[in-house]
Amino acid sequence: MSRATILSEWWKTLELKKKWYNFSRSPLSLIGLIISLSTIILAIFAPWIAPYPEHAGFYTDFEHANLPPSWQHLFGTDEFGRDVLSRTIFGFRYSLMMAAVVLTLVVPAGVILGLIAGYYRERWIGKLIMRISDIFIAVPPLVLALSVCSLLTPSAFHAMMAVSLMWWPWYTRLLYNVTSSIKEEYFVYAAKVTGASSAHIMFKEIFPNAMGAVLTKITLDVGWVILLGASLSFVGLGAQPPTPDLGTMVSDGAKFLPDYWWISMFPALAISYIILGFNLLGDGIKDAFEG
Amino acid sequence: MENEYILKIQNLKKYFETPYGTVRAVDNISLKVRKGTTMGLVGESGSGKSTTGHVVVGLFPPTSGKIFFKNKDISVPLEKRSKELKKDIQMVFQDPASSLNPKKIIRDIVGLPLKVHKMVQTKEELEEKVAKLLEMVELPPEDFMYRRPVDIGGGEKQAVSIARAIATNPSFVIFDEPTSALDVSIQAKIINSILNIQRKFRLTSLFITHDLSLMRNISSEVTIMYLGKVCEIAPTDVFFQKPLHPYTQMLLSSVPVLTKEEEELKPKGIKSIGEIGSPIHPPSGCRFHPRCPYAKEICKKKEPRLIEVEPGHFVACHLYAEK
Amino acid sequence: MDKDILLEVKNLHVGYKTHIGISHVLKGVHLTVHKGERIGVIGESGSGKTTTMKSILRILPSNGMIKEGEIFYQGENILEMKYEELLELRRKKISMIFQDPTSALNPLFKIGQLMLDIIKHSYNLEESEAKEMALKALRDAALPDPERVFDSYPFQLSGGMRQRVCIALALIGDRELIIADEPTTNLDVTIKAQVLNLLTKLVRERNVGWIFVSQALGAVRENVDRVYVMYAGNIIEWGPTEKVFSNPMHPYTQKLLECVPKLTGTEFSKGIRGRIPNYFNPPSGCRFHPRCDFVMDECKKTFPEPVEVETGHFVACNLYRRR
Repeated sequence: MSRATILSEWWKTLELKKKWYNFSRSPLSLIGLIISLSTIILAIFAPWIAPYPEHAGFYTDFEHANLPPSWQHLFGTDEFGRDVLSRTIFGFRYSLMMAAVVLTLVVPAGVILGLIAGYYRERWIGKLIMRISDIFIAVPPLVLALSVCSLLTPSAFHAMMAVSLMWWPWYTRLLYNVTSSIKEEYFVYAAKVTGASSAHIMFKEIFPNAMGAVLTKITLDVGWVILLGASLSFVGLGAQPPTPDLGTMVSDGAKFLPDYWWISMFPALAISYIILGFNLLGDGIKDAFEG
Repeated sequence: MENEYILKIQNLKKYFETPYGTVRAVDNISLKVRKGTTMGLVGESGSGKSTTGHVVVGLFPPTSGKIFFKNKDISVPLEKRSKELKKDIQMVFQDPASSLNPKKIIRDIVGLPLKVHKMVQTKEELEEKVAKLLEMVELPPEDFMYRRPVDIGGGEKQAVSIARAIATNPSFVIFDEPTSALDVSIQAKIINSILNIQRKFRLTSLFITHDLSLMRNISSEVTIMYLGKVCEIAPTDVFFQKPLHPYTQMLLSSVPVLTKEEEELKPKGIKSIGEIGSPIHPPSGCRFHPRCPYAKEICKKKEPRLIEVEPGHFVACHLYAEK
Repeated sequence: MDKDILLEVKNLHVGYKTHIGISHVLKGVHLTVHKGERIGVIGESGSGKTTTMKSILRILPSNGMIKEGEIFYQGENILEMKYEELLELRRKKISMIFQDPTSALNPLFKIGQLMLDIIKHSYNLEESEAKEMALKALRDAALPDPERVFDSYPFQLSGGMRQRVCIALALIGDRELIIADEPTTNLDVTIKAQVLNLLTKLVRERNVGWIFVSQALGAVRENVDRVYVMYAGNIIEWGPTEKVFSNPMHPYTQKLLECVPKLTGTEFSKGIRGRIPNYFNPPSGCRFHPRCDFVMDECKKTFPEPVEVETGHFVACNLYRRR
């Protein structure tokens, strides 16, 4: 038994090694990994990393308002005298939290619906799920999110709900496509012939084959969810001041353009930084699973 | 007497609706398989041989016609088949790459039927049984149990497929071109383990292939199909000595061979011509008539019936109908 | 030097760079084709047949590297040719027919368009002359109704017809050498026979050299003058077809022939023990030694020098060196 376990472990490591090789073959994937990891670390340890953690919330110091970037304040200060760098670092927190909450809600729901729709694609249940998801996909995401948010009181929580509502159909569609092609593979036939249940076939036979695609999409989506959340905040329907949300910061700073450019420029760059990082990482994960 | 047939197919039809029209994959075929024997089902692409296998195993319900297994009607959709029945009929598929789930280890692939039919309780029991099955197909369990399909060769994959098919101790196994994607030296290994298993378990099987030489070595009876129809059924020995249907003769004469003795078995005076017709718009009358060197007027109009020209030897051809 | 020699491959070593290291596939392959000679190359998948052929046309994938060796085409070394010379060679002298006719023809263009492009590029002809040439090529490939084929898209043709189109393309102009890499593997038995007959007939009529690469031993035996047997990147036996097939000398050739099922039903062997070696760390000496029943100490040390056992029939095996 112990020897068997060793063997099984050995094969697992070999497989991981291969995935890592495929991933690390492209330097861009590595850059993506570094950027993504750096944002996550900044987000988690924001209170310790940020030079002026107290600037994240209510804080005013008009004496030092609107200072340009200097050694004291690398990204300058805003109209209340708060350190833009500190607020940006805390901004990573809110952005990543947004992505985490939205994706935790959306991915399981979308995946399960997609599996069912793909597996029963000839039956009414599959068709129904797909038509509903088509309706959601047909409406431009920002428009849908905007209309939901404007019905409710603007808050970070409601913004997350709105984004989730329009995001699940993409996972349903992804899983639908993967499932409808994999269900014609002979190993699925073999499972059916031997009498395995539909649930077993969907979750144990088909789903593991969609894992790579799902992980890739999750990584790529982190950036897009953050961008959409930032857009909602930018128009005032997301997180409310003084929350250091990157979108809100860009929008607040926009009033002072072009004189005090640093107030909105650095948070905007930070958004690009996150999106770039997770996109590169997503491409790398795709290579790892496909290679 | 009737009881010795384990599988009886009567007037089976399987049509598929496609955007281009109805594909008549299997068009009214009947055949019987004796207990403990191997029926060879031979044909080229579009002949309906694989579809026949898929319908018998229950992947598609028949369009019309009946299938009897151990005298029970099994021409129902898969969901309506009993678990006992699913345990008793198994299938080995054609493409080794698609037959095994790439994300699972061999232990779980072979162990699936055991779990589904509750034949094992604990993990230890499962590993023990899987090890025995792997040994049966000559794969050292230590080396293979924990590997994934991507790490093993095509022949080994097919051996794993066979181990999975016999896991539930079935009495009937359909082999759908199990070696067509393999090299000859590997094919020889796989065929030998199939023959051993058949002997050991007294399996009855339907062996689907396009390779007549392979068929000769494996089956006791041969059914030749062309475009969804049965052309000829005969005991293997008789079949190779006296192929009657012009298509059978053409098929035999097209087999490339290695020795002089084999060359003597190839029918002379017939050469392969023409294209295999489309199963959507099959030719009228006898479906082989556009390629048949002996085609007469009647062949274009009337479909020949399958008649018994000598005991156990059936042929569907107007050349033999008059006698 | 023999003036009749069309192509001569000498001591070819080819490897591929991969993430686990360099796979040393070809180890000293040699091959000679005379004018108008039909050559067969047999071996199982992974034996290096395709790598050899791709090296001849220098179409190896980007991670492939030719480490050593020479390939002379009518006295000129292909490996030292400039790009323009190479293009000229591929356009007018040597052509290749691939295994899969579906992926060899661009699905977006009509057959006629594909052929015209190739002809116009290679021969600088007017549209009308080029079309004349294309239609003639299609007629020569025994395609019924060449005008219709000329106006069809690849998907409108059957597999057999597509392969005939590829043959027509390969034989356009005055080719001197045709390399056919498993040209019939994906076709049905009767269609296979038709395509091979056609290819042999055309090759004979035009007196071009032909390298027929295949795993189908019977098909090779029936269609070529001389045959080379490859195992694990080595040519292990070569000679006139009849001699090699009726009197195989190398233990591998013997075993391989035994593995092929026979139409006569003679029992075939249980396969060859072991598997094709890992090219990252291939066995020393004779690469077949770990699987050979007659292995001796010297087999593990040096690759055996070929011995001429009868006129024109060579074998690279230590068993025959002592005499």
